[in-house]
Amino acid sequence: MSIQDYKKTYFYNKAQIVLFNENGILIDTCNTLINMVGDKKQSVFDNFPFLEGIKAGLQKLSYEDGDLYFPRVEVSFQNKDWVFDFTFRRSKDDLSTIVWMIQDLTDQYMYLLTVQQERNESIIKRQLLEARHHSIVLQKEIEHLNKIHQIRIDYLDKVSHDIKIPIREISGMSFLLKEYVKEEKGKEYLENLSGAAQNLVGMIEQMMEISQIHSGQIQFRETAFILHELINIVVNTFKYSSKKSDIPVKVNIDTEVPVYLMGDKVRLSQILYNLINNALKFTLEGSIKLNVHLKQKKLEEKNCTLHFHVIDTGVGIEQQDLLYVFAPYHQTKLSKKVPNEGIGLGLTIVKELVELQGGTIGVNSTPGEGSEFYFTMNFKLQ
Amino acid sequence: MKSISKKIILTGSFCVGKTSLISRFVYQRFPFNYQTTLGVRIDKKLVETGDVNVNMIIWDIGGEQTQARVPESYYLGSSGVIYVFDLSRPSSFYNMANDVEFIRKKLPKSPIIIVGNKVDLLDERTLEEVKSILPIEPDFYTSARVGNNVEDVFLKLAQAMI
Ligand SMILES: Nc1nc2c(ncn2[C@@H]2O[C@H](COP(=O)(O)OP(=O)(O)OP(=O)(O)O)[C@@H](O)[C@H]2O)c(=O)[nH]1
Ligand SMILES: [Mg+2]
Repeated sequence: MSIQDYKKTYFYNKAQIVLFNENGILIDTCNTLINMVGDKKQSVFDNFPFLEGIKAGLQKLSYEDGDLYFPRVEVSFQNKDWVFDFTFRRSKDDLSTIVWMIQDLTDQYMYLLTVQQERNESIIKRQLLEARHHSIVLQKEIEHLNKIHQIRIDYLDKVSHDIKIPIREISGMSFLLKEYVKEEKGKEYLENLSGAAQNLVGMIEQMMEISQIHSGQIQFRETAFILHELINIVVNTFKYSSKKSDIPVKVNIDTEVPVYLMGDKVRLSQILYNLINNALKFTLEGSIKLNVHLKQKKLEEKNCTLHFHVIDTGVGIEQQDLLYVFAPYHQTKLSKKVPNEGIGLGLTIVKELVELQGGTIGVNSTPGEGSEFYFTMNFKLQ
Repeated sequence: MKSISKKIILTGSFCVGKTSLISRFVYQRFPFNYQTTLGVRIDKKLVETGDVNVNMIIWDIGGEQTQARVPESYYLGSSGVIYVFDLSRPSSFYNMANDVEFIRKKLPKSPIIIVGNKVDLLDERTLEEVKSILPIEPDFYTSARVGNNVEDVFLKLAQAMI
């Protein structure tokens, strides 16, 4: 065979030429790759979805546009996957004819396919490894930060504990000193001194509490209690406390509220105490109401949800401050009007305690008229 | 009933699930093994939208890291585009804004549906995190594997094209 012959046979077997007109009617083809003989009457647009999709584009193709080239078209037929390159062009001899050249490049592209597949997979693998590396580094950083955090908490705990001892001593000494001070003025000073010392202890306890909450060290203990008794005890603390105030605390517990409950009674007392204490702090006249309603009771699951409201007739909170009432160390401007005690952690602690137990908390307020703090809490029925 | 033929393309980065979405939609099958699409592969499916039957000619394009690398002829005559990215692989959506812009310029009249695929791989929290870093909010979160929203993607595109 001559070189010409070799060349002819080689390319003959690898390519097919199809001629069709704008309506897709087949004019001629060599049938080397795809047998189209039977299709003579039918539009190629109907037989090849590929062509159907670009029909309008082909009809618009002009001789000047040159070749319209589609590389790597994957086609399955005769139970085999083929990869063709398609080229379309207007016939030079007859402008109503479109020439479609089909080149079979399956073998060449199969090699490319392997390369591309490996490339894609390795990129993905690399990205996965990077992500894992990233998360390991992050994990280490978090551990490191946690360690530092723990050291701080331990330090704070120790310092708070150590500070409380001398303060208690001051408190105790000023109490003892009262015996020896006869003048009224002196008694009053001593009273103030022991009050200040007690406040200081309270603040330190709040700080410890919040650091415990934030480090996730807080635990809730479930015990049986009687709601009415618990509330009585809390309310009475205010009656007999040194800060005895003339503002009455009125309690109203709806009759359908279950009395015998299971829950963390210490935390509930603490929440109520803080809310009432806060209300008293900002109320110069009027009263405080504590209302308890039943929100939901599921007998078969033996649990219930209660709604608590602490309503005061105090100075109220400005709209722009409402958002921050539960934020740590936030004291509203109004709090400057009332004697400053505490460091603004009371409400933060309340919010954390409520939410850690699965409850919700909120506040409504009208400046000059008063505020209402409310929260929900779930309890088991005894 | 009126019936029209429309060419649509599925495009986006590689391995995001374009072929899988088509396979789920056209053949109700999900291919677990990844076999990359080299160039383009064509499928067909009739989508019924109330008044008009849309005969969709679906061009499944091999993924490229940027749309600029897709052969230009593939866009020819596309009436609609489904742009797919992989929610579990950030590199598949970092370039999304540029890609979508590029396609819009090429096909100014065609609707583009943006699809975040493989939603089954993300738990709720991770999905929220991913949502917060997406350059563009997708029209659908899909899973070719489970089938979530797959039909809806094609139906919405069909409706947008008629
Ligand atoms: N879990 C999960 N895996 C998917 C999903 N869709 C696709 N995959 C997997 O992702 C891999 C890639 O899917 P393909 O559909 O081939 O991706 P493609 O976008 O066509 O990729 P190229 O053709 O390379 O552009 C395969 O292993 C699929 O099994 C999905 O919704 N969920
Ligand atoms: Mg593919």
